[in-house]
Amino acid sequence: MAVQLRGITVLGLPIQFLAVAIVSAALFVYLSGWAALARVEARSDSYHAAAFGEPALRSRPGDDTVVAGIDTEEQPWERVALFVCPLH
Amino acid sequence: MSDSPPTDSDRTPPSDAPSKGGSTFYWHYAWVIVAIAAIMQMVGASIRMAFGVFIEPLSQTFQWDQGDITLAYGINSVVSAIASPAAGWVGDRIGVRKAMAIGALMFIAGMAITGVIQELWQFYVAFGVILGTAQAIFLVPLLPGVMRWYRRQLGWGMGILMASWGVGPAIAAPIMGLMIVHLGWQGTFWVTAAGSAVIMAILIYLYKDSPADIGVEPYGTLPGESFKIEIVIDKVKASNFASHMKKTSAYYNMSSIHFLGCVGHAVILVYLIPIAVQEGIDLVAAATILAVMAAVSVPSRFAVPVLAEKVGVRAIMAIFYFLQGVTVILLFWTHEHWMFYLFAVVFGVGYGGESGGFPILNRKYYGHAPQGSPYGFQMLGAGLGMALGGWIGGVIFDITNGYGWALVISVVASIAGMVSIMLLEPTDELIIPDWELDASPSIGH
Repeated sequence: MAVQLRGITVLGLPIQFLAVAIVSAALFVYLSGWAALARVEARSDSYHAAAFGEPALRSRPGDDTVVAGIDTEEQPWERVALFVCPLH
Repeated sequence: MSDSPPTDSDRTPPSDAPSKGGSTFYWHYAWVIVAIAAIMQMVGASIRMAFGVFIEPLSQTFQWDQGDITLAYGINSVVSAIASPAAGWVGDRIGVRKAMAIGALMFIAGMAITGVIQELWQFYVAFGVILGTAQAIFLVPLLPGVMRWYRRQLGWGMGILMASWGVGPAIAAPIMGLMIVHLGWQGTFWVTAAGSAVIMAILIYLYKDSPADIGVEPYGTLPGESFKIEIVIDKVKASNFASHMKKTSAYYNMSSIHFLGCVGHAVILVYLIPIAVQEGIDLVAAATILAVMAAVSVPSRFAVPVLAEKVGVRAIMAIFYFLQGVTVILLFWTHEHWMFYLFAVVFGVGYGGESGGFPILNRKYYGHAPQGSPYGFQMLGAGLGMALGGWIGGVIFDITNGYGWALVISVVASIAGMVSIMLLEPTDELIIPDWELDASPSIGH
């Protein structure tokens, strides 16, 4: 089995190398997206706590005020991380 | 350089048979080369190893956040990683000595400039970019440079060199801390720059690119043995080998294995102190735990290349990757002071042996071919692994307020590295013995 695995290449690259590269890149993208979302949520909570005395429900449908408030505070890296990560 | 084709004996990786009338050890300038490389590693990497002691002084002087300051460390790691393949390429083409000189000049300039920074971006450029590049240029070619001096007994030379990587962190931090107390952080950078300049100038003067430079054979060459693979710097030869080497799976897999190993221990190196502090241990005691870990890693660093050469490089590397990974599980139940010391000792054994097998593996796979490029690519993997591992813990802590998942990733990375090592090609034959003959390489292995 080891010999078979050793011989598998995709685009000229060995499968072991590709697996590590893809999983690591996915982990980086996922954690970046998670971190970005957590920061945006934290700021949104503090924004709403200051404005209305209670945390915001960020996923509330149609709540444009919340979305606008969050968008204006997004850092460029957070915007990129949330755009790239399909799960956040 | 010899023009003759490789013989059958060149297909077999070099053994560690005794030489010089059966003596394993005898006086040879190769040991001076090892000592030079070891000191260069310690001097050049000292500032990065002791980075933690600069955080508080910089924070107090400029009121910068710790995250902003440690980003410079991240930039340094990533830049050094990205520059590593190019550094190996430079070493193969212009020679290690010239590469060391260029890197040393950049290092000294970077240190001096870091001592006069006023803005955060200046810190990123000086410490992150200039020092990161400099460290790659004069550190990456060193190891392949040492390999050129050994026909046999490479494991002992590599063992001494690897051990110096463990000694560095154990002594650099206290010395830097003492200098900061007496000279301030700026003075520390300047004095270190001046001291490094003197030491590096002496070392570069004493360094020789190949045994032929002083009219001797590589260490371990048997009487009457033809050392066919000459070590003269040859751009065509290096380029030809690089094109063949990039067609082998081992070239890529060794880099990803080094990446996994570094992810595995970077999580621990960067976050062991915060984990210990979180458990109520004071900062000084936590730093001592890290120093113990570095000290314990020294015997492993020394022993692994030797064992790898004598017992079998893949088996030894797999064992130490397993030790590095499995011992991290202990941290889930580590709460007391003594338990952290116990963890430092058992983890230090595995961590110390993680990287020591790579030079031997390179030699077994590629023989005496120019090693700068493959080693540089492996250092790219290692650097990216250090950067990712160092980053993961902070992100996970910010999200979950704990390090549990970071530790899980550390374990998984080390064990995945072990599995990947076991899947590598056997080392009983060179992978591309005919690379000097074949001008048009085919995809294989």
